[in-house]
Amino acid sequence: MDSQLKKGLLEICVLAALAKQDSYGYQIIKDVSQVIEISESTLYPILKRLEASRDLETYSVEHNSRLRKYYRLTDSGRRHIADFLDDWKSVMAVIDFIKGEVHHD
Amino acid sequence: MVIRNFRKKALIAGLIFVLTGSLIVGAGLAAGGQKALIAGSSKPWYQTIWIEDGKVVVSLDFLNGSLFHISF
Amino acid sequence: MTEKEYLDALNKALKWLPKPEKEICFNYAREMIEDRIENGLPEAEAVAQLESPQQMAKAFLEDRGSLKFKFSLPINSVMTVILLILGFPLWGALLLAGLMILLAGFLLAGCVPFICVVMTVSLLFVALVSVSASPFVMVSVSLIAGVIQLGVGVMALGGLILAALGASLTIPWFKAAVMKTAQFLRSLFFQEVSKW
Repeated sequence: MDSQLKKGLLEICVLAALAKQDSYGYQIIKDVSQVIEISESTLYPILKRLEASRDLETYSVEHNSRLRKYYRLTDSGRRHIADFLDDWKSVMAVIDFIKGEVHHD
Repeated sequence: MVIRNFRKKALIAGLIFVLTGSLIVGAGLAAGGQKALIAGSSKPWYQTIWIEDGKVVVSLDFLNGSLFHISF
Repeated sequence: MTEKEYLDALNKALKWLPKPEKEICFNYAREMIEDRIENGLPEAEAVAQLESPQQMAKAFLEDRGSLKFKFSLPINSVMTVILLILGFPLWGALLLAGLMILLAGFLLAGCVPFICVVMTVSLLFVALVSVSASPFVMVSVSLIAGVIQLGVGVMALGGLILAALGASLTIPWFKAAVMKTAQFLRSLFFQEVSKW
């Protein structure tokens, strides 16, 4: 997959992994890696960037006598996902067009 | 082994040693140590405190040099 | 590799990062390992699933952005360059004076931990010789002189503990001051450029 495309998709996948409930690093990796390859070193900059753009917020919870960092989706993050899905509708239209044209030949 | 509150304990230990030492010195002086400390040229090298020209000297000479030397 | 070995290697690879940033990266990696262990993986397996510490450090460092020389003067104009060169005796001397004052400050501040270390070592010898030789002084000079020497030795022992304590407190403090100043100086001329 094109790396730029993958980067964009990964970002949305991470946001989507937080849509149902707050989550933590390893859980996000497990969830996202079902559909797309992701490693710790790729997740870290994504989380940092999404936090900087206020698409998610963090808090720490004590868990088995250590602190675990949790990530929570913000309203801005939800809007981000919605925008992506909207955009994707037009991308799908383009793909349908491409497929249609190729099959005509 | 990890000693908890290490710095606090070291501070207390240091102060206790200084205090104990000065008590011993005080006791020695009270028992007429002034005279006993006046040292002639026969002072052995391992004597670290003595009185010379009316001054108390605490010193450790080592290989013709002085590792530590104060006088008052 | 054990968790500790992994984290030590990561720490080493990130040694140039400022402490707070290093802590964030470090905690992130540790959480990833510990969550895996909690999930039932053996420690070695949990560590093996991660990328190598060097790769991880590289990702952290790359994300952080790189340093870029910043120069806010409009150096592109010929006039500025000429003024810079002609004015060198003035600004050069000022810069040198500033650096010298800074250096003097560090030398002065550095004296404190230095003296503490020197005192620790010399008091160690005084204490050793005074205490161990005091019985001989009691015999060969006089009983009271030996007792007084024993007292001096015990005092030196206390003094050495206090001096060592002072050194252990002031050395990190001095180190931190040097690091902070170096970072401040660097921030005058370099700025961080984020990659994203």
